[in-house]
Amino acid sequence: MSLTSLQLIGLVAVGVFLYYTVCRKYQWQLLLVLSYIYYLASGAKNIIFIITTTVVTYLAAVFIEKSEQKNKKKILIAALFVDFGILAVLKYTNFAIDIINNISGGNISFVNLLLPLGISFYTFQSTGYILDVYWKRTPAEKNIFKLALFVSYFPQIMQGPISRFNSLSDELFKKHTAKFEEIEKALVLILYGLFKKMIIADNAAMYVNTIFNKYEQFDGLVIVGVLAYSLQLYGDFSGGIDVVRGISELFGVRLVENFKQPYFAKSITDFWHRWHITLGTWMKDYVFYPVTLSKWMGRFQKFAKRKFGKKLGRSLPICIANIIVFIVVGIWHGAACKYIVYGLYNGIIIGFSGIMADRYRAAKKKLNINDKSKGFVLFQIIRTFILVNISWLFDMSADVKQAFIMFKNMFTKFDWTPLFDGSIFADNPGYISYMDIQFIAIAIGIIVVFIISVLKEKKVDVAQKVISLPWQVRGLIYLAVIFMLPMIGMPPDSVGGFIYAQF
Amino acid sequence: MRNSNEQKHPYVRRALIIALFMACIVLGNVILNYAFIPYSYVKVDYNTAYNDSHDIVFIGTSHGKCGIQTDVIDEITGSKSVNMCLGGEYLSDSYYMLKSIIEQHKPKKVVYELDYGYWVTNEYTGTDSTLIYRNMRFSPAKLECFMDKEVNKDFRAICFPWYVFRKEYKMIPKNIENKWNGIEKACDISAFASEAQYYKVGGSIYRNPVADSAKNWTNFIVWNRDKVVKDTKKYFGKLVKLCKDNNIELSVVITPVPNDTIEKYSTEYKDCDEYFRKLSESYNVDYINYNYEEVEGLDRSIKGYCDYEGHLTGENAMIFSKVLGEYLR
Repeated sequence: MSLTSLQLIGLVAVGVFLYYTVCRKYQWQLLLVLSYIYYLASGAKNIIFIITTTVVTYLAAVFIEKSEQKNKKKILIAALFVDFGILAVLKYTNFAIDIINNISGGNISFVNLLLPLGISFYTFQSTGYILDVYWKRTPAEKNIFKLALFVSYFPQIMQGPISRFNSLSDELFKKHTAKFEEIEKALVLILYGLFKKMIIADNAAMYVNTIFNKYEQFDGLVIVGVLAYSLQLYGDFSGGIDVVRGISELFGVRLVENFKQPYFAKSITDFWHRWHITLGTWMKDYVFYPVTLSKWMGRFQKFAKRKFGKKLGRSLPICIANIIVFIVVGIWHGAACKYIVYGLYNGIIIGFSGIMADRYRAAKKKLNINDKSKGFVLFQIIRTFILVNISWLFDMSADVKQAFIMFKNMFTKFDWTPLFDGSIFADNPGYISYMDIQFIAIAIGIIVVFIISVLKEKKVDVAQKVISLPWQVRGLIYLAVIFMLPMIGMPPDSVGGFIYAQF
Repeated sequence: MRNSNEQKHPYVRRALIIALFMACIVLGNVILNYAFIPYSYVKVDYNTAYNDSHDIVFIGTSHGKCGIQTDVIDEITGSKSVNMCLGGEYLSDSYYMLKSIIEQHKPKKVVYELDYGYWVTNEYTGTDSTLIYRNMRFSPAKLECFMDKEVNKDFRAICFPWYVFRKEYKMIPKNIENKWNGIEKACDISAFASEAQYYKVGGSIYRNPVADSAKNWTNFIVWNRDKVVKDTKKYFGKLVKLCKDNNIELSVVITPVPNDTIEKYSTEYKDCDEYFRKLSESYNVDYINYNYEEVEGLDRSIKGYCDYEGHLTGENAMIFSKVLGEYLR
């Protein structure tokens, strides 16, 4: 059930109606029923995995809370083993087979495994909860059905955000009453998400798919391809998250923000504080800190301090922890070497920046650079944007080799003729006559999103501003967007659905 | 006064605003549907099939639309047939199309013209499938089609049907003309005549010869049994059951493609034949593949076709239809 399918619209419409009327006393129970209906619609066989994860997570948390200290760790490890084990087997078996085949020259056949909807998201959410209970950050939930809702909550299961039990449970289990303004605000969020997905991402995808799939033919268009991909990915993922948050807010449940104007980031570290925020904080809390504070890292820090001096000795373990975190981030993104390289690239930049931080500060002082000057901030934003775009090469290319070839072509080959003579869509002639409209659509999309991003950066509540406009004005805005979606948005058959829905 | 009224009845005011807003969407949609959605022979096909009883109903793809000439078939078999084949018609479309026809009139025989290209590619929301659904008469079959297929589609394809046709914006004047002048209402088939082809009563398309230089391999799909889409296979089973339940004889027919194509992909075509022969056998359904059958007088060189994919020219289609008619007699 895609986020843009009529089926989902029907489910949400019926759900919202029942939620605020007939089932007012049983709101979270209704959400659980809706979540399982949604999940079943994605394939009945998938349900076994989410139920297993739910039961294991529930039992582990309850027993961890009850058990003596020495047993807590054993239960924790067993539960993590099962939850991550399911994810690992279903998502990474073929990747492991591929590696084994490559190393040994063998010919082990790939296995045909199910990949349940949202498995990466709900596994991370569940394991985060178990760890929170283990670290006594949250009490164990005694009602298995409540936990089941936390694991399976349908708006967010497809592409996140990855929520914490502490914050989401408060929202899920309190009583909600229908408020016209809140519902309108939620609908504005959904419209804005669809606008980003259908107008920006899907139109950009037409170029991305052609340039990346035929990178040898269109070798002079790598920069266009990468820039288009940065638009596509942002529009697709953040648009999807806005739709998810909007749907959730129709039920009065507020989900955490997952994006904060990422392309305004001044460094890669800052970028990861703005892009897929909930994955970043999950990694920080459940990978980075445990690794940094582990015994072996403590021993390494002592060794490093002895060997390289106090400053480097202190920052080196953090650098290594960052690299480990981003390798995990890479693996989370997919079962392929290119994602590991993508993670490594980010990890190395962040790790290296940490080590070099003092030197950067000294250099800036020497060169009399004012950190807060507009020019320097702009320089930082552009520099980060370029670095991020290089990382997208690894994300979008079919493999590492292609990414490196495209990286080289980016600086050595420029030929934008196919863009203007229409030959970029030679295999898809139907789109040639539509190219001008596509350009305009992308341009309008960028301008709108840019203005909204600047306002959000200035802490303006844009949705609130919109719903405060006179009804005639906002009515016209809504109508314009509603008719733009079919008029200039690309159909999913040509560009695919939501990218992160495959996670 | 107005303000105090608004304060007293905020819900009424909101409801009125929402109603006005919805009315604007509906009105916009009606106008855009009128402008974008073309008058198509799918409507005429349905009209023929619904209004008259037919002995034979042909379902399938563009190969069948231009390869099977119903006037020739009718002459040979002495029966009455209708060609409901259509480019872009996947088996699920054929299934619901046939089901809706059966609800009106039960044919004696159904011939499924099979193009393997539709078995190894995924269905998409195209203009053809949209027209097939839109022109279907409101019926239990249409409702079933909606619940089974349409509901899973992107909401734009259902809520804004014109969206599927928006790329054809240059056709707006012609579309408006066809509707404004009553051509669509009268189901006037002269509107479909062009230099390349014309539409015949009974649902067939007669294609005029194409210059050899204009013939290409565009849209050609190579057969690969590993790529057979599960859902299409499922609909084949449903089609067999539908015919069985209604006591309708079902035949599977593959129209001939040019020799050049067969030679270039001989292994794939042989494998394809074996696959569908076995599949038909397993369902106890008649199967005939004219790529491997003698068709007297048929020009199997590229001259007899409009492209390498295998769309027969009108003249060649008449010859082929004679042989097919003999088979169906």
